Amino acid sequence: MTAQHRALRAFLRGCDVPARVLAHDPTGASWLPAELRRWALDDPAARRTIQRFVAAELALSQAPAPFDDAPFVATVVERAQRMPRAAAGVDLRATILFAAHLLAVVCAAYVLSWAVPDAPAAADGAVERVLASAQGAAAEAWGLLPGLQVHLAWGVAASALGVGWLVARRVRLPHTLRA
Amino acid sequence: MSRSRAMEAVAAPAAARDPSVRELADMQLVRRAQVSADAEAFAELVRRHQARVRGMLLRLCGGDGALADDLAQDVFLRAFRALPRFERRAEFGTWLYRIAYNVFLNHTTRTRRFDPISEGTERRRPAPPASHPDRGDVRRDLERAIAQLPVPYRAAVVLYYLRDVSYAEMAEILGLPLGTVKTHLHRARARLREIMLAWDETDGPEEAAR
Repeated sequence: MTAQHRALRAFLRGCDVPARVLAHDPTGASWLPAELRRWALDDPAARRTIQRFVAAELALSQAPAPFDDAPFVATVVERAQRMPRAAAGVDLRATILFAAHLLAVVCAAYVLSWAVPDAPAAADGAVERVLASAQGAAAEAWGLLPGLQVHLAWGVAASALGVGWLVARRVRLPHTLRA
Repeated sequence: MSRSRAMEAVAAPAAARDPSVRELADMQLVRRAQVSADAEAFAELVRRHQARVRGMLLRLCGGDGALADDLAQDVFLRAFRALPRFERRAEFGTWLYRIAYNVFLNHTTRTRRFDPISEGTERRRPAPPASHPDRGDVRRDLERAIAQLPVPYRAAVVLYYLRDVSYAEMAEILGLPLGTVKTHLHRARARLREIMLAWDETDGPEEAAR
């Protein structure tokens, strides 16, 4: 292979010429570098390489399947009518996220009940006292809760809710679920 | 719907079909198909997109038309089943291509033909095909050359040549970052041309592989 052949191949490998330009100008008058084109005009192998390149690029740009195929469409429609459809609003992704969220809340509730057996009563009392206080500052509410365990348990519960909410809004599930 | 009724709805002369369906945009057809399960609206969507979906699958499947048509049917049936959940955030065509790519990946996984991009792919010579391609048939050579690309490269180059798919949509369909898609595409096109040029410069793919 000559240096010109190598140069031509290197150019063709990296060039980016729109298909419509190739269709109008298959010999490369407007897109082939002048030096390569001058040489290619006298070289049958180079001309064949350019022809094949153009033919391949044009074939790539053309639709490989029939534009209108009524039997194919009829088959699909017929099969579609026989199959169940997903009910609107019932989304597999939503179902999975809801189940995960519910599980997180149940786990948090379990941790809470283990850490603070009298948590509901303590929380009720705290809420009442906070509401009763016209100036109920956050620091005061914080001080009303009994002990570190309660803080921890409420933290777990809030985290579970927060994570569930974030997951429901942001997580990207695999394509198969999103389809 | 029976086969004959489906054929009637689909294959009727254009003038006999509901003209309003043919004039509707994709999203309007989707809405009709979602709300009232309108078979004619769905048929129109299939009619409009079947060529591109089948073309995409044909190239992904290395020119195996029967396999591509089977997978394409699966694509449209999945789309029909999932249509009520289609949120219309993406173009309907993009959504279909994504389903098509997933169907193809599922198929390759099932048949263990998935070929992730491995180290040194760029430097490897093309594997010799089973038989010598017909030198006069550029299209068939092309399909064989595409089939030699690793699946992610193949998908990138196939989508790129569908023309109506933007880089952002390609990234969405392939589930890859935009930069990765552009890199895949650049390498895939260079590799594809390298394969084709190698065939052209030698007596055939067997010679090129040596």
